[in-house]
Amino acid sequence: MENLKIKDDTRSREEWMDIAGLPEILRKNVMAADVLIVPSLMQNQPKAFMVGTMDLYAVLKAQMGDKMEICIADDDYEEIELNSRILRLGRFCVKQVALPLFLSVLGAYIYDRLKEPEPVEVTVELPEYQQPATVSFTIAVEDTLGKKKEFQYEGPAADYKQVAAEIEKLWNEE
Amino acid sequence: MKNKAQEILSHLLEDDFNFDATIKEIDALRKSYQQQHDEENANVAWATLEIVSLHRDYRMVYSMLQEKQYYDAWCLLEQIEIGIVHLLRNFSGIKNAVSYIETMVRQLQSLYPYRVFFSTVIIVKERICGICGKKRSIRHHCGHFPGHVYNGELCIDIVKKAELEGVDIVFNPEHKYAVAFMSDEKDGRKDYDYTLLDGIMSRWDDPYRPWHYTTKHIHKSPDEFPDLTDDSMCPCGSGKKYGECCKNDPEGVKHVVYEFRPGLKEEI
Repeated sequence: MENLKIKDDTRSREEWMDIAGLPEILRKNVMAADVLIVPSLMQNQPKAFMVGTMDLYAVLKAQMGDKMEICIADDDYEEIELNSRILRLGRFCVKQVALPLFLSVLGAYIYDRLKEPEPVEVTVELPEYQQPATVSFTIAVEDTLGKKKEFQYEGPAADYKQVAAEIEKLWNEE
Repeated sequence: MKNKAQEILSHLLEDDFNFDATIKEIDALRKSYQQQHDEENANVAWATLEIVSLHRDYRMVYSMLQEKQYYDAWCLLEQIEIGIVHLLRNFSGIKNAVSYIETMVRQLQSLYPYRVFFSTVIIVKERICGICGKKRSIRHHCGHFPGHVYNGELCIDIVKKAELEGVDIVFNPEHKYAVAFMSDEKDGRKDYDYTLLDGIMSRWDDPYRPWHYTTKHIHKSPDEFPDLTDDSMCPCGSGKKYGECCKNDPEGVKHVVYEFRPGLKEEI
């Protein structure tokens, strides 16, 4: 799958907490969370998350409760808006145990966000701004034995189901 | 409200439909339902108001294009597109009320010559909820989600504090109004070639008469462009000079043919 990139190393949660300047009171929850939203680091902004993260946080919270967290203090939270038409979901650290549920919730969220008009007609040469929607995200998966993999995707939103299945398959290999 | 909405919408396509008076009437109803906290009827009134406004705006686009106000029409097309997204996100069952407009808006947009846009990079530091006015907080969500309708009101966020980080040039903008212009077209100089839109407008005599088009690629002989020099802009529309583009293509100059079908006074 050409739009899916994989790395074997990724930042630790401690590193993310330092980057975000997380206060001590929140560190325990961040370490324990099965799903953690971390700063996107776009434009070298250490405290900025992709626009819409607040809504995604609420959706994930409703599904996963205390098992998910975000690596930022309330007052430090900022969003970065890059106004080209890509649904940028941001960056996540996910424990192996929560991977299937997380991928499923993320898929539902993408579907809800990208309800948009159908293409005019397949026989027509469409300008780039009318091409099917693109989505991007980075998911770092970790297990209790220290295994880590980072999956980075930017490509058609319509391919999400295959991408999610591929991520699970690649993680379970070895 | 449901019966009233159906009655209003059944007259929408009539030539003498009074948009302004109808919008005023529905808005008054919406406000009265809001005051009674009758959320269901207030939301139906909001949807009815949106549908009527979208059709009014669509007709305005048609008039603007007749007057060759291309950029103004472009901006209004984007507003219609956004309005349809919000409407269908909340009321997916009423797609039929706007599906024709949705198709025509996208067709008209795709005939515009605009391909390059500006895109801002903004760091949003503080925003408030447009429904309850509370400051947005990551861990203390007020329960209102942007893009959803609550008691007859669309929830939008109001940005109170932000910093502009930069401006990019993009081909797939979030905001289509940010078209790159070299000059102010209102001064008479045209940066873009609107031939396709002009062709449509000279043959399209009713905004509710649908047309469709397809495109296909052909090559033309350079002999068909007698004034072409190496320094001319390539006729294929790549934005490159002819000498650096189709001159080196043994098949000739790349060309896109648009074929329009029913709904127009004559075939083009």
